Amino acid sequence: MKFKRFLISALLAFFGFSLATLATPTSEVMVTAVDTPNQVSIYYFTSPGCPHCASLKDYLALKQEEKPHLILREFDVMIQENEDYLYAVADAFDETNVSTPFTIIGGKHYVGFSSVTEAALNRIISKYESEEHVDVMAKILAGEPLLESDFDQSSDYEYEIPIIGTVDVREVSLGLIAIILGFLDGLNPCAMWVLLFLISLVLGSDNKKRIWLIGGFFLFTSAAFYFVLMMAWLQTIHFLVAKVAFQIIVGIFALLAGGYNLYSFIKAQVKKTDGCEVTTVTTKQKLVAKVRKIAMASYLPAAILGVIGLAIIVNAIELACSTGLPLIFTQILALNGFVGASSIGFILLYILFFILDDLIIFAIAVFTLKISPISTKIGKYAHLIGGILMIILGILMIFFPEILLFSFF
Amino acid sequence: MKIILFTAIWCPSCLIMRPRYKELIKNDSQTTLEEVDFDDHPDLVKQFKIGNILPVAIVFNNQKQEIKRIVGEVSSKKLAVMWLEL
Repeated sequence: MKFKRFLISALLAFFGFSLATLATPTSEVMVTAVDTPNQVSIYYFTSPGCPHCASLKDYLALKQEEKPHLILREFDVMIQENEDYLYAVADAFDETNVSTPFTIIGGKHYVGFSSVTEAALNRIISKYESEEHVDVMAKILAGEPLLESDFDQSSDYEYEIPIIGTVDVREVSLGLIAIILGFLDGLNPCAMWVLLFLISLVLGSDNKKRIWLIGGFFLFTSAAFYFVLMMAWLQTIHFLVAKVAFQIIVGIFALLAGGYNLYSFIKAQVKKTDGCEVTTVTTKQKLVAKVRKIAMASYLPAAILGVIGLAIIVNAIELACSTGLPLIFTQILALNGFVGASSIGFILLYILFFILDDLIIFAIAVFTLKISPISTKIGKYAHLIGGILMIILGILMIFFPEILLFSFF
Repeated sequence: MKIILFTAIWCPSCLIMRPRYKELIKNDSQTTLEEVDFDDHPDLVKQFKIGNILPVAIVFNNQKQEIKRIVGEVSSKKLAVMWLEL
């Protein structure tokens, strides 16, 4: 990346002057390579008929009314020189998505325009107003070579918090959401009975190694299954063309799932009985037979293989029980631009808290040889809290997605 | 007296309640506890009209008449009070 930037910088320096003179901005302003505090230049590439460009222009016009010191400079890409310029600038920023609107402020760039971009622009404008920064676009226009340090690598979500220091509010917020949603998802007792039954069967063998292996493989496979599923969802969301439409669909789903959770809680409250609800008995009976066969298998590798298969089957069957929370969480990750490798940490954190209760039950069983199931009362309150959270997240996803971007300026 | 306790292998609440019922009758030699698996005995489930919440404990007196039905999870304390009221 450094070499690429150096190469681009050298090329831009060589052709810079001619590009600067050829580029045809619709309004002329004087720019300096280093903006002083309060002076913030915003450069944006637009094309006619582009609805997001119109929205960006409306936003910038309002912003300039509010902050008259903002310097705006528009480049219409219908003019060939400006289009060439857009590609050169995109290259400088290492941006593969070359489309309009394309906005450059200081050492940052933004592609497209939505409530997400608006939140980011608000924040970066506020930041540059109070601190000196390099105007990359001004350097490009002036034909000056670009340095690696010219690009603003800071997160759009870093805040100075007294005593603690710099905190990336987005990472902290997403981490907290991962912990809360994962934990609530884990309290859902749908698949837990299989683990309990499995433990109860292997406890009889009095063989700790067998208990560790069978229980451990069950938990590990369950976690791996969830991980693959969430990563696949995230990648699917990433490649979707109609991202906003899907976000609204997930929001509606979150509202429905949240409503169902609240209904489950109210139903349990009205009945005034806490216990296991008798549903899908035939499926459970079949699973019981499978679990017995696997736990009793005398050949340990066969038992382990059986447990791996069982964990996959159980989690797939009981998926309907918890689809809501992981789907909502992956949508929040996607909304924040976390896909692929950058999302792994958050997904692992979610899964850790998802299986935390299972891990505790398993550890107690191994060390005390006693089974300590979680009361359905706890599951009932998990429905209440999960339901309220899902409804809140659904409303935010549909009407106020910028709040889920954790940019508070 | 006799308690018939309907449970299922897949029901965590049944695992919670089983030791509580055993504890309850531990010092009562006149009372017996019999456990019936919900899945293995659909005939008894039908006969005793077990609903859709487990576990269900049915208490019978010596004349084999049902005198109490306890459904779902109940705390040990509440269970002891219920037992004293019989």
